Amino acid sequence: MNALTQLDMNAENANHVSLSYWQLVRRRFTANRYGMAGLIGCLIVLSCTIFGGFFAPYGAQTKDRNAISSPPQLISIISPDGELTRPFVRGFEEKMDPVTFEFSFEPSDNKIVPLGLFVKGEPYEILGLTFETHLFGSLNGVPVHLLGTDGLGRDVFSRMMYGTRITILMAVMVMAAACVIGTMIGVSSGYFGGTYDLVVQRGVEFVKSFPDLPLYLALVAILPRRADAMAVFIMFAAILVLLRWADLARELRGKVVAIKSVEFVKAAVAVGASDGRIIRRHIIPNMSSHILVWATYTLPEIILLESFLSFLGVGVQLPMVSWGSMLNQARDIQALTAAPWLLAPVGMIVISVLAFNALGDGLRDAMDPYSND
Amino acid sequence: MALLLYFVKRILVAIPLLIGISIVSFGLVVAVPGDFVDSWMAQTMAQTGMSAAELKPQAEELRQKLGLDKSLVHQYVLWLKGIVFSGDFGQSFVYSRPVTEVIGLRLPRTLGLAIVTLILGQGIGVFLGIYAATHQYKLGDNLATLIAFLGIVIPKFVMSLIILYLMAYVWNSSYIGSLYSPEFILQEHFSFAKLWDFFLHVWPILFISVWAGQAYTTRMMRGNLLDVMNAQYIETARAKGLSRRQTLFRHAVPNALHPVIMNMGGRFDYMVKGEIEIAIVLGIPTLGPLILSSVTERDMYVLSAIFLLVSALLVVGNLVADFALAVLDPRVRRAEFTKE
Repeated sequence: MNALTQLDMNAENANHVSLSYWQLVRRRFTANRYGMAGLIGCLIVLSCTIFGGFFAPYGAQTKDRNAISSPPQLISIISPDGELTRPFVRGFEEKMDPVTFEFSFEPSDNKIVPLGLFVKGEPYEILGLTFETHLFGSLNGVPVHLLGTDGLGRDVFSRMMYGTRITILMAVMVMAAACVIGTMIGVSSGYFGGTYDLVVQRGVEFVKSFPDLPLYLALVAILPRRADAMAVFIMFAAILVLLRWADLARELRGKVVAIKSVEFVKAAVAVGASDGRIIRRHIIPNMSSHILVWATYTLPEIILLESFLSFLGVGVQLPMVSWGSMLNQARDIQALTAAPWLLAPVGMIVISVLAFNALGDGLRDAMDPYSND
Repeated sequence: MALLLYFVKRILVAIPLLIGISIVSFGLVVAVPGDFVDSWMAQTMAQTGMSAAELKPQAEELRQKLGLDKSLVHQYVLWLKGIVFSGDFGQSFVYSRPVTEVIGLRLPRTLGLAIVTLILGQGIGVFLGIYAATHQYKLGDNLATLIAFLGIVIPKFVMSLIILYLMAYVWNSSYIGSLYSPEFILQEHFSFAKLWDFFLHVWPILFISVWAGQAYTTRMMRGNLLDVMNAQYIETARAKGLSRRQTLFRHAVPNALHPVIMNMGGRFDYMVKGEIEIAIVLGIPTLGPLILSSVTERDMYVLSAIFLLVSALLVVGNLVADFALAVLDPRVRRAEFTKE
């Protein structure tokens, strides 16, 4: 490219209205297909959190005594006589093996369960309002279990939808608390420096030196037994927060130390802005993209940790349902063999971890809109 | 000289860290309602049918003997003294044996497996990273990226669950939930047959840990190497006539390796955690299942001892990683001095 065209291009650019930082980020992010896919995945998972009751045909504790450990059902739109009909599933013919006494389920053409959209069913709550309409359901009153049922006859799909609530709620709570604590401590320590900074940094190092899994397990052991599920849930979240804030605090401190000596902060000091104002109006806005990316990456980590601890039976307690506590039933290898569909929540875990990671990658790339690659 | 000073300083920083960790571990023991004597009483009452009143004098005597009637600070000092001078971590409630005996065999297994997976994972990660970076956007790169991505995304306990299922019901494997087959358990001396048998039992740990562990290294190595390859000194090296290969291995790879080595300490932590997670699901008798059982049975002395040992080992591991980096990279030890 010769010098003249370069000049032309510069002149041309000068006539455009320049875009703000967040506009640039949005432009770059929407151009990233991978990040957009992550965003869509995240929105789906989050919508399950809010509208779980609507997507789920039954309640989390509803037991169907006629379908104990029944396998998943396939939605079909071609009727037994080969014609196109409304979507339906086949009910099961229960058979017992006379030798092993093992039950087996055979889909039968005689037990057709037609499906419909927006079917009235069990009441559920969304944000405090009670509704009765479910996204889908059976039209003839025979229950439909798309992902099968567990050993107590509870619908796996419905439980999974309700489990999203607890899992995501936990992840968001922990992430938000760790964000606030980490930001406050990290920014103040970087901004004020001195002895306070030294003490805080030793503290951060101390917290970071703990191996997290053994510490979580040890702290879970000192939680009072027989506390109710909600109390355990909150204490569990508090334990997760305990170690999470340190990473963010350390990263932000480094960034604040670097940004403190940049002209705009010095200018703010010169015109007499207070420390609080400088931090709120000048420093935090410059940290926001970093915090956002950190938060996106932290969510899947907490989802994994919560799932593992609940899977072991030391996390979320009954009657609360989370993906991990659903998998707890599959810990028993016999139960797992009898009903491999109990592993269904793994799908949700993998999808959400994948989506949040992809979103994080996309955001991280988009947050630096002035780079060219 | 600078190196020596650096070492001494790092060690001095680690000491308060270790003391802090020991306080937290002791706190775990104290935080649970009921002490060792209470559980001893419950046990004796159940075994002998004596009443609580009858046992009371004996309990008081035992409390005095163990120093449990003293102040918390005093107890802490006694506890720490026992650990440092005689390796005494207290008694396990559940096993009625010294904690050292309960942990004794399991800790080296966990550590050994963690170190092996660390080395394998880092090695494979570095190799895959170099391969992916030199074949950017080709099939091999995409494949390596995909493998790395799956390693990050699929939870380790889920992978373990799937492997357990496959072993139990598809392959009808008998190598589940132990370290050796029965015929090797009593065999004292070393043999390759025994080693192979051991491998057949623990390969899922190696497989899953290495898969998950190499993921970050692959990604990091790929990214670093791509960055470094764009640097001017690489172009210079090429311009002065070095071949692609020579430039890659003499100039690019050593520089791209730096962050990987710097992260070794953190990766070790990750591997220990991973080993614990996988062993719990597969029931392999290393530290993992012991931690879980002591959580559910509240065997606090065992739990705090494990916690203390693992934390201390991680501190030491980080120290070793720091030293290795300081030896390799003069900038690190110099930076430490210019800061002050």
